[in-house]
Amino acid sequence: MSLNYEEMSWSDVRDQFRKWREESGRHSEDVVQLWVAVLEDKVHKTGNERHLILEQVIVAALDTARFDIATNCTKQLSAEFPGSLRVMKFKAMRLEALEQYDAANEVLDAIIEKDETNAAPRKRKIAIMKARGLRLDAIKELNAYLKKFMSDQEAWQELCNLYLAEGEFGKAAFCMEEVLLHNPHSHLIHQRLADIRYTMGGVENIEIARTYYSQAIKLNPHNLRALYGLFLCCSYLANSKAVSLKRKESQKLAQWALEQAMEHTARHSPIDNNDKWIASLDSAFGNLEIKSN
Amino acid sequence: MAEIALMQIDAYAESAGLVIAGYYAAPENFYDNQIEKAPAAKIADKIQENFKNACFAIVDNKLVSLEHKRAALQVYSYATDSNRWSKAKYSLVNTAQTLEGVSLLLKRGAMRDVIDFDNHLDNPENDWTNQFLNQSLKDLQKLY
Repeated sequence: MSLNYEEMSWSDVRDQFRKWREESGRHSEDVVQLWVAVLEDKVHKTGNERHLILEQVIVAALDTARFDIATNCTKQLSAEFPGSLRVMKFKAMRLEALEQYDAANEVLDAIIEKDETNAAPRKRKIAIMKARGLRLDAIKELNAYLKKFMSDQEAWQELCNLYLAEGEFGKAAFCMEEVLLHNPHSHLIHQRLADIRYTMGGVENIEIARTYYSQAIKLNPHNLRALYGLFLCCSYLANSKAVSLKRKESQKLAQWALEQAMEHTARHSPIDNNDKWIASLDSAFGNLEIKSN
Repeated sequence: MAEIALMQIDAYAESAGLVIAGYYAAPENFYDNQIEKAPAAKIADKIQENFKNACFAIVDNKLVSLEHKRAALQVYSYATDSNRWSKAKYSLVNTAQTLEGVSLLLKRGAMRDVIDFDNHLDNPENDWTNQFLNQSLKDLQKLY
């Protein structure tokens, strides 16, 4: 994303930061560069947003190893809110970024002791375990966390990713189902769940995957991954040992899905002959009808 | 999606007289540089089935820098007798210029413009053939 720093006024930068906060986009490098170039001197003009902006800049600075900026902003927050647990978390994050994990854990434990209901430091401890490569410990801790904070979607999502990294697809599917409960209309979650089921393999899972891919397409007919996923599932089912009627059905659905995918891609893709490459999928997967029953 | 990607890329490669010659993986964790921890090693196996001389490159995060002294890659080749990937010696063409070129491109953020199949699935307007990269390293550096 090319942002023209010279032409952006401080209010433009402030608005851009707000947009990124709302979309939960990190953009660490851009945030730091814009901060240094434009907003740093004018931040006192931003009124109520000032603290949110400072927090955003601290996280971005830690991401890009600009510890000077991070320390500076943390000091500003600390001066205004002495003894604040929220600011203490940033001190722990700085230690974490410096890889002083034991010191960071001490600070986090202190925060948890002062406030048992505070979710953030618990999650940071799990993040530290992940950074240290202790994935199994992270999974254990995250499970314990979720027993207490059951509606934390972000945590369920993270646990799903950890299980996927460990190859525990069944458990990952369960976590993704929890996320789906919170977002029943999200085509992305339906598609991700379908991806996991397809990976698990076996006729039952692939039938479930087909249902979820279909729902994803219903919610968003342009979801390319769902279209391809539907094609893969139906091709598999068309070649499986099911009843002949069901196989024909799957075959038709596979054709439809592939055509949809081709149409959506051809309309936008700058690649020459893109439809040819997609058509090659048909010959690879689709035409294996000839089977003796 | 890996099947979809590999099939399409394979079809494209064949028509252009190319072949999928290998696979590279970049570990998420800074300190992971062993092949056992490399993500999706099965894809490398699949690629090797189609092209005997395939190589598997793992990015060594610790060596990636803005002033490369060595290539930040560990390259493995497949030994059919032992059915496993083993470390392979490799050499760069025009070592000094290559390392300098890569360092410069990193500094200027060229990596943000590289598009993979995943990006294409997000938005079909993204070109996974990355035609703009098909130039000499010297010309690429001028772009940035």
